[in-house]
Amino acid sequence: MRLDWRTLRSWVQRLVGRAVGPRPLVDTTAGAGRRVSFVDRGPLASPETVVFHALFWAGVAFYIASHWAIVRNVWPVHGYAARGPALLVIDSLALLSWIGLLFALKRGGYRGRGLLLLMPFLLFMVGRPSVFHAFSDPAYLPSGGETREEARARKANTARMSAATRVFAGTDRGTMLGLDAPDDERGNELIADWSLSPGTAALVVAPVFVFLGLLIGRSRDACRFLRQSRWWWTGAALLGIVALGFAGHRIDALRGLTPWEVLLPVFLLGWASTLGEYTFNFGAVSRLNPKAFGEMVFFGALPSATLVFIPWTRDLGLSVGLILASAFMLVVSTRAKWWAVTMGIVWMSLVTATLMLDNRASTRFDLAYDTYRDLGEMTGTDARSWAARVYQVRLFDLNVIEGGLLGEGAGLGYGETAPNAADDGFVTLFAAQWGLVGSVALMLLYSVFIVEALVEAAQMRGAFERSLIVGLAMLLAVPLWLAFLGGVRAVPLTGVPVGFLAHGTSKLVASCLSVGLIIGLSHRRAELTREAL
Amino acid sequence: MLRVVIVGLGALAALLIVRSLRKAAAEGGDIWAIRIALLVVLPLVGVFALRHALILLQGQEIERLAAPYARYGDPRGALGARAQLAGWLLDCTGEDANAWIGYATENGILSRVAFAGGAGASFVADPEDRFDYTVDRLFAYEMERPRSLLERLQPHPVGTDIRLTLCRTLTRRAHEVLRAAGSTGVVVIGDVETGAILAYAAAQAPDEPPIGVKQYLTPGSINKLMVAGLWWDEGWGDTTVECPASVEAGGRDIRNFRGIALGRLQAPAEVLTFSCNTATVSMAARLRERLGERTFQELYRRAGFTVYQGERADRTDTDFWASGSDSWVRRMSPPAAQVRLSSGTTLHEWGQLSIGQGPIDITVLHEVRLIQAIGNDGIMVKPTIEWSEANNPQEVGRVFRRGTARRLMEAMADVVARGTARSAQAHLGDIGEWSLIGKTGTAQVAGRPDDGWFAGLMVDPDGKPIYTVVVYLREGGPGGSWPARIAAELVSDAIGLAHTP
Repeated sequence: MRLDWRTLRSWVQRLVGRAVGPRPLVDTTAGAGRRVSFVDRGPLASPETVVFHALFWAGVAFYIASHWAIVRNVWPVHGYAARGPALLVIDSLALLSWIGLLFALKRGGYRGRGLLLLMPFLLFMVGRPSVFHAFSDPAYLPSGGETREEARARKANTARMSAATRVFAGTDRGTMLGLDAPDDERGNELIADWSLSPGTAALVVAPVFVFLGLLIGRSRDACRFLRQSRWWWTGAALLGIVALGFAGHRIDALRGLTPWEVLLPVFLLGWASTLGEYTFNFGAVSRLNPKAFGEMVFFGALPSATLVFIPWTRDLGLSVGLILASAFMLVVSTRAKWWAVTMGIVWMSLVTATLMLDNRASTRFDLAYDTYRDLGEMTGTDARSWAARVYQVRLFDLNVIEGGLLGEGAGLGYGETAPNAADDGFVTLFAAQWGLVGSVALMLLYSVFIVEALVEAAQMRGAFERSLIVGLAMLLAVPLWLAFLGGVRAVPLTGVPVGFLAHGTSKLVASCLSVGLIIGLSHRRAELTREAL
Repeated sequence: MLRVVIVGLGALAALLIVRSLRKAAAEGGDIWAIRIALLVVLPLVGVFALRHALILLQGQEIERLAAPYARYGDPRGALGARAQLAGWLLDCTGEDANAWIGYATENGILSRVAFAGGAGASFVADPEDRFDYTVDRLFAYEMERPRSLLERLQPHPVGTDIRLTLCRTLTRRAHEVLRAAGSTGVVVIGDVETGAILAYAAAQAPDEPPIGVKQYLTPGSINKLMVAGLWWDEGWGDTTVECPASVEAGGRDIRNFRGIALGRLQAPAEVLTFSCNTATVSMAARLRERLGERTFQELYRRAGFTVYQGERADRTDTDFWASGSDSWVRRMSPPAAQVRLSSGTTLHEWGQLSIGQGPIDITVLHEVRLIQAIGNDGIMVKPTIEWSEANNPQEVGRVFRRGTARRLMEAMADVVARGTARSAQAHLGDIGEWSLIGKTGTAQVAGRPDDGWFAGLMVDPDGKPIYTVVVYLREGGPGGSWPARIAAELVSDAIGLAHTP
């Protein structure tokens, strides 16, 4: 037998192939008119499969090890919230749920782009431990009638006691301090809270929404039905938002929540349907008839206008996301440069209008770009007022600084002391624990998904599919940009959570639905290409 | 390990993006989607990375700018401070039971406690946190330092203990005696051989600077030790001098305490014993006449004074303490002891200086150091409150010859035996063969009653001076008998000390 480079490579490939299975799970190389790689290659594993498995196992390992580090190293030091044990169970179930989804799709013969499926899973695996840490922290969201101040004092005392026990237990000083007594004698026993909130339950069922989106996206009939009946359900969704916003505002039940976020993919579906039907008309002003223009206003502008102009549904982050997504969809479907310019102008105008209508908008700008004003030059009231506004941004800054280059580690540091660290300021919480390198890595991972979605869109022949994928990708990308860039004060903070990373039930559901639709369309294209071959 | 995973994931993600875009470009398809990826997605990753890095680079500046905002809420700082387990501040015994500051548990709450209460308030640790210059505050950095390399790796490392030379029981006793006197003042007890401060008790208002460290005082008759010391140092023998009720110096009278004449006295010993102002003025004048001002200047310099001409120098004596703490040196270095002495000094001023009045400024701690030098055969060492420093005393230099120091101590013994501090004998209690020697002082301060001083040494049965004791009482004069009584009451407590450096 000849022992050359090719033989060696063949052995390695056989070895890897046996480890990861003989058949590649996915195809990331599928291109129009090319031979796709879903065909069985025998015992040899493709580089794509190896990368897929490496990412999968790295994500699972990171998720489990981070949770373990928090439970093993942080909980004994700081204590944990009453809901901590329940969260641990939920997170374990969520892991199984996601793995179950991937396994089900593999067994079900998913043939779309693998990274589109893997990246949301991976983002959840990498981002969730930080959120788990925040919500299991005893002082992040105090419960049982305890004030935040009291919870922090208790947390600090637990930290002291654990440090003292570590060093002095069994010594004269330990005896003097009563450190040898069990926890319950010290009054530190904790009653776990096993009640389940909708938000935590959503973590487990989120993959179901991916599956639901996949079922819709992969079915030509379902898509056709949705396209044809778009007037009905888009109208119903618009009325639903307004009614929900009005009612919630009147009874003061929303408390900053935006449940209509789950409807954003629905609006994009309606807009993509219109674009699919009127691409030719939208391609030039001369071809824009009244019917097409009417649909453009109804499906392209009205949902965004609802989030900009109606006071009780107004939301800066969501409106910017929806407007940008709609604009990108129009540009991608028509492939017209002048639309890009026009949409740029319209977008700028709408953002300006949003900022002007939003009372907090100018303050947000000041908080980002003129943060640390000299308090000595203000009156006492002004100084107090400005300090209160800067409070969150200041703690976000300190989180970033604390993290430095490589961060403090899983569950370590003081990132959770910042208000809303697990949603608005997720990136700063993550930065405190994983530093600049970790934050950039996370953004790159997210960008892999966005780029893959855009590349998939580029392969799509139909304007509906193409624009829908771009719109859904932008629906995930814009919050990412707003939140990440807002966290480091490159843009004003908008308070919009990032799908799969930050806490937010409606965001998670909407994101899962979006991903499901995208991978459904990707799978359908792969199937069509296969049939063609 | 997890950091490696995340770095690896980031690197792989970057490679995957490049690979996806290259493949997409090669395969063709819709150019707009690729343009969005290239012109929007990737540049925004760059903006994020740059802005993040910029915040890190400007970290110190941002922290500086954000610092004033902390008073409107600082959960991060508060949690960090509360969660911290700093080292214990141990007293001279090094035992937890006698610690100045440590921790105690009550109802499951572990709290930092100043165990000495009010006794250590003005110097070591104030339970009410009113003084901003206490040892607890100034040694905070040292006490927060992780006690081992292993501790550094912990989320909340346990800090390092610091052992002080200050003894809690002795300080508490000094504080009790001082408070019983009902006057503002200071008591300092030190170790002769090492310069270690064993007790510092003060009765003072919290808004005042530390009275024994920072406040310039007039030494009064204690300064006669300098005149007598120079007399013997220069080899002048004992002689007889007249002690009239008053003496004329530079055209103005200098009077004895209560205007009494003491007849003929053996100089310099009896001049010290009975603290005769007029005889001291005569002795100082004679020394100046024979030796000139320069000899005086040199003596004062040896004793750690700044000798100046014209305007006061007003500098801080940053070389005063033997200390390993920059914070302590920066905050608690006393103002330099200083004396205005030159050929232009008038006869009257010269006379006043010889009895510790006029342009001479000293702190209680400088007085402690001077007495320590006398007790240590004329060699001065730097004072310290740190046990580690006391075990390696730092010599300042020789102030007096050994013989001179001995003779000064003999005279000081006479002061307590039959001189101005004789009333203290009744307060010595059961001290066996130990004895207290010293010198009283009265400092006249314009606009209020005189201050009282006693600067002495506690001598063991072998005749070896072991401890210095200096008592200063504001408005505690005239005469130093009251401060001397306080010193006497502390001898029995001091000689019971088992742990000194």
